[in-house]
Amino acid sequence: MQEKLDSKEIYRKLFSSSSDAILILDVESNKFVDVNDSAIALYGYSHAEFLNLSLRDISAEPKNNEKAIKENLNEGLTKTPYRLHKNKEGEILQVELTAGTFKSNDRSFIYALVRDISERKKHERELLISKKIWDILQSTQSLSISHAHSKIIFDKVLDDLLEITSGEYGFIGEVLYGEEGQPYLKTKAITNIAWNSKTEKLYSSQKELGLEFHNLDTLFGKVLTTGEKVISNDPINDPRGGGLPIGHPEMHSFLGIPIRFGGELIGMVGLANKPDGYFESDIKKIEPYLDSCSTVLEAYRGYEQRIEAEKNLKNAYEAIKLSNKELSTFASITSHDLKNPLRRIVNYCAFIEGEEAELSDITKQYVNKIELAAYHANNLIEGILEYSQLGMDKTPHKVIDLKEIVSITIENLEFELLETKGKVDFGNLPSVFGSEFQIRQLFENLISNSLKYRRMDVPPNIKISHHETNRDHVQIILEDNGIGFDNVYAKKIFDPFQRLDGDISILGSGLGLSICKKIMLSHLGGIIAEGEVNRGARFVITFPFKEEG
Amino acid sequence: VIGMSLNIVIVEDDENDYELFSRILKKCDFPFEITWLKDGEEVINYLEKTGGFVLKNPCNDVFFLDINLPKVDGLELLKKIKCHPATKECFVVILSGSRMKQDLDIAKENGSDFYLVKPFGKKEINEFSNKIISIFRDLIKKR
Repeated sequence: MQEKLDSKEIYRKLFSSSSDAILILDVESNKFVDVNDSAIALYGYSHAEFLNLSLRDISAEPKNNEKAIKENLNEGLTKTPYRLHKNKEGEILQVELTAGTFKSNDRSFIYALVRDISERKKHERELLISKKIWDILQSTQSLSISHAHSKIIFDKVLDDLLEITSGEYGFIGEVLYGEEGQPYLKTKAITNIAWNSKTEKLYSSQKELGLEFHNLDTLFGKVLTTGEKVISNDPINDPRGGGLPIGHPEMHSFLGIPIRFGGELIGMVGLANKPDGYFESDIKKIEPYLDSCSTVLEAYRGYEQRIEAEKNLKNAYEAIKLSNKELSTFASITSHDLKNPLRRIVNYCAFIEGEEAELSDITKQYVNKIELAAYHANNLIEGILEYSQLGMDKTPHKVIDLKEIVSITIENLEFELLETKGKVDFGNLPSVFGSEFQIRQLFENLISNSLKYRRMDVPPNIKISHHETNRDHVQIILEDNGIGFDNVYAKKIFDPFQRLDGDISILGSGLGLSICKKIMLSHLGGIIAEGEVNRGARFVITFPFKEEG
Repeated sequence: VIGMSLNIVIVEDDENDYELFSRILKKCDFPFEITWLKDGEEVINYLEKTGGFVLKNPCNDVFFLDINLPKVDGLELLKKIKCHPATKECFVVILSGSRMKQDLDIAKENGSDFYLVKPFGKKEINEFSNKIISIFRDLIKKR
């Protein structure tokens, strides 16, 4: 007896202090006869109120509950992992249920241990959604959200949303803005509700790209214009909507929920035809999906913008490439065609000069002037040709020994060096990475330039040296003892067709240094000049450092 | 080299250039005859009519070929001349306005014996004349 009393007290204590809600129901009267404090806290009813309630009152899916009770009543202890209950406020509770029956004084009772698993379920669902999305991304072997990926994700999410809310059809869409700033909807996923061949055609032709809906005088339009959720369980008569187009499948309930990213409205979910209408509880169920929808929508928006930007960039690049190619072709054809008539001029001048005996001095002078002008024109053409061919140089860049390049250049300019009594000194020059053709041109132009702008009374002396300023770049310095220039013009001398003295006896293309500049820019390096009148010029050439091998 | 006379065929559509070459050649002081053909088609006719292009001695034929020719270009002609058994021994000098190495290489690949850049002004005319004289000397030495 003593023992029994003790256990009764122990049971009472367990009952009252359990963190699970415990409900005891009289089967015959179908009313609760006792509940513990946890039940009171969970459902929000007082103990007294509970005694007037039946199981039906706390169930959010009464049919399922009653069915379960009938089936399980005689099976002893049953555990139901997932069930929907509601509290006094009508809010949905997701619960795990353990129930059993017992008899006392010939009366049958049901006891139920109820555990609130709303939070757990929410986390579970979020995890599941994340995993689903992750799986989809994984299966596409790419982390960027392309159109195809987002399509798969949204189709899947829409299926889930319709399933968990028992909806019939729906859509997930992106909010876009028209030219006048008015929002419109572009679907990412939509149930096919085409009701005739015209709408069927529209659906099948547009579903990949997304259907656009611009009529804002609708229930979903309200979501777009207000940014607020819309629940309507009488859509036909709802003043917020503008009715349905003729032929549109019947709609007796509608739920529209905005999708936000950092406060900004970026999309919405629209669901329709949940049998007994939509409630706040449905929004709760959908909530875990909204974050994912928002992330994917935003990621896809970024992807779309990137694709668009890339496309524009590519088009612009192609246009520039074409225009450059045309220019180069134009320059090279023009130059070739211009050279022939010039060749004739200088050759006939040579023939005239060959008839020396018959020429007066003034004639000889004039012929000489014609010749010089023609040579000059030819130099200009050569320069344009060279300049334009730079853009067409496609020889692969490689490691180039500057010592070798300078030696070859000196050999090529042997005649000019002999003629001017010039000499070129160079020490231990490094290797650089670049186009051999262009680098040769660079040194040829620079050395020719120094020989051309020599002082008439001093044999030209050109010194080429290098110093490695740091690990990022290599500097080559070319110094001469020529006529130099005023440092004011240090930048200007690299402009095409700039010459600092008007001396016609110095015949150049006017492009030599421009070509040097162009070459260095195409090597991601640079060239600068310093000068002192009647002292000489100094060129500093910078190559980005590139380690051999 | 007594009795040795070269048969020079100049294939050039530009009258000025023809005048230039013939003038330079005349100054070279070798016995020769010049035949002037203005385009590729004329060359092919000439080759066919002379039944193997040989007037006197096939070895004495020297072709000066411009590259840019109407109808059949110089490189095509070069290939024809160098592939035909009756003419493959003939000397072919390519005359070109181009100083580009790749053009020279193509001519070499197709069997040209020499590649001369059309001279520009008196200095180059002199160099050109000297080259032609040395080519003729070589040729006569070999015969």
